[in-house]
Amino acid sequence: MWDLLIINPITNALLWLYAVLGNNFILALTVFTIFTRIIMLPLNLRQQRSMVKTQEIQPQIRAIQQKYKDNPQKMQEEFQRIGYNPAESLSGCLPLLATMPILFGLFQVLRLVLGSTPQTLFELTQRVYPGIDLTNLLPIDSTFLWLNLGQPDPLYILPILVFVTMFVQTKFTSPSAPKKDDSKNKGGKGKEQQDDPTAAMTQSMQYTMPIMFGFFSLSFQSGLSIYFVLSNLIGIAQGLYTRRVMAEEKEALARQKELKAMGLNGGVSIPEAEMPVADPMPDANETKNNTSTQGNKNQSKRKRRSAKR
Amino acid sequence: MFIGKRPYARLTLLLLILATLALTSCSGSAVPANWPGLSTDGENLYVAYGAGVLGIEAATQDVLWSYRPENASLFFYAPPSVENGRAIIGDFGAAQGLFSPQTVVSIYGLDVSDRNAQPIWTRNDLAKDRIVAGPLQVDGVAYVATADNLLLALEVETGEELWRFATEFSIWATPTYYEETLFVASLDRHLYAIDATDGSEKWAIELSGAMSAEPVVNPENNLVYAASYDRELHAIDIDSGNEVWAVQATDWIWSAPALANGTLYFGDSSGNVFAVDAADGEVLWESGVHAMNTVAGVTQNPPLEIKGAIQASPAVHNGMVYFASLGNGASEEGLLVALDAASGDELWQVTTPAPLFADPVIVDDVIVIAMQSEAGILQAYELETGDLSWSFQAPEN
Repeated sequence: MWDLLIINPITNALLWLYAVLGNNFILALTVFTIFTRIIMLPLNLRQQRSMVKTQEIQPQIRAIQQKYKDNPQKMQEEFQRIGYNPAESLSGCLPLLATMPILFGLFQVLRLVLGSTPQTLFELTQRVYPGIDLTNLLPIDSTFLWLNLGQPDPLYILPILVFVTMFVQTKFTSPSAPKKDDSKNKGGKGKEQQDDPTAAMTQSMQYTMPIMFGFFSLSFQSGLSIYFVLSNLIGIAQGLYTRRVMAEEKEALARQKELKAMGLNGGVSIPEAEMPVADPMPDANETKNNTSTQGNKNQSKRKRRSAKR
Repeated sequence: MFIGKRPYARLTLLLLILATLALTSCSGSAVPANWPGLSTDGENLYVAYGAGVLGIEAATQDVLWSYRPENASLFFYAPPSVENGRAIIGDFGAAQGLFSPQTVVSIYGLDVSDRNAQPIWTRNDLAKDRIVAGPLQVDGVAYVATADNLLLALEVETGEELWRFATEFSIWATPTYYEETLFVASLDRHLYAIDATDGSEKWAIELSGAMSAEPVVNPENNLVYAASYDRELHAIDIDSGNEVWAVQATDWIWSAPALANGTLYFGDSSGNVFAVDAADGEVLWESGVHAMNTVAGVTQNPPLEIKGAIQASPAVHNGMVYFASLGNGASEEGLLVALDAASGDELWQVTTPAPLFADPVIVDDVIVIAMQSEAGILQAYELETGDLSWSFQAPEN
């Protein structure tokens, strides 16, 4: 089933791209990476939006957690009221999990397609779809610059690139970490991260993922490392785009509120569901004072900017 | 450092560990990466398989010598070349460390004159990719083809490099020597004729498919034959490098044809077998063309059909031609078929414990096959009947 659904389609997709792109394997790999990122785009965007949104309503979440720690049912109701679903906190892993089959598949496919043994070539012949003429494609050119795409990078450049791009990507696609002094007041950073699983997870992934994948790349085929680098670069671009779009939405929201406050109706309309809940729990002032967040700070910055205007 | 006692951090860590395990298990260094390499000098058998290389006396199956390097992660699959008490072998290489990008491939010169084979030299600075093709020894010079596009000429006694010839892609085929000329088939689709004294190119001909089959020289007709993935067997003039004729198969031809009594025998990846006149390429017989006589619903003379791809060169002996195949694919078994060399009629066939990728060899009145099987890496069958004569298990040490 794994072969049928993952290995064979990836193998044939790469071979087909190699054929139509003038027998250029690096180009085929690039197009393949872009294609897989496009497929994953809705999932990634949704997850990124969800993370940012969750972080913005952290004060409300913590206040609810504090107030209803002995009443889980009521806590859930309140979470629902502010549009927070705790299960979504775990969605940070989802894009990673979803790309794992492609990652594992590509590892095996590169071994097959760029393999330098008769056995791997024989295996390849067993997987090729009828429409692809392998005779005309062989030998598959696996060289790119100083690299043999079927072997690890001997100059250690790709592992460094994998680490750097993955680290930057994680930075761009995850919400900013809470400031240290914010968490000092209530149980320290550990307490903060326990309350905010998304932050805890993204923070640990921010470092462990790039380090681990950087190490993997020392022994992986260069082709797979290039897939990582390309995928990360696309992820960085996607992260920048999402941040810009969300910043614009926030600006629009702030403008709408200002106009509302002045008794006017601005032409900008933001769906109610997309609006971050600005007010914390009415009777959770004690918690509110101790857990000001980046979201609140941004809002107050915006207020200051509009006051200047 | 970043992973504390937080449950979600633990989940992340778990995911990463799973990813690590999955990815590292994909690398599969412990899984055999090829089929055994088998060669013979007509009396003894030489086997490269897994972590070691063996010399075996065919008549008794006694181990004459064995060699296993200290680095247990090394694998040997290229058939050894043994002449005058010297074995030349090349390995598949091994990473220097768990996370090292450097792969070291070595070529060894062994003294195999007594039971404990000793390396007289080792060169790990010549090849950067696997040695797939068996080396060749001629007059004290070893010719070693590498998967990083090189043909190397080395002094047998010292390992000193005499010259090197670079092709555009990997060489998986053992070169063929004839009158101070080496014929080299490469995956770069070229057949090269190289001066064996200095490594200079005499001529090269580009075919329309890659080649992994050893060229075969026919001095009688002044031809060299190249079997190709372009589904053709090409006959090339030895002196000029021009194609004289080509005969069409139905699928890729992986391995060299067998030349005997003016006839070439070969098989293809679809399991079809052919016998052609070595002089002009006329097809003498081929599978699937036998007339069928159905009497009372029973097929009396079924078309010759060898199930499974043929990837090994056939062997010819006493008017019989032997084909090894990969079996029908539905099972993990292979097939050894004996045909009448003149007519192509099937004489016997046996099912083998594993698919047969390596060339079978004839020695001491038996046909020996090499395979990846728990039943033994070697099995020998009687030439006339196909009865199992003996099996050989690789010694654990």
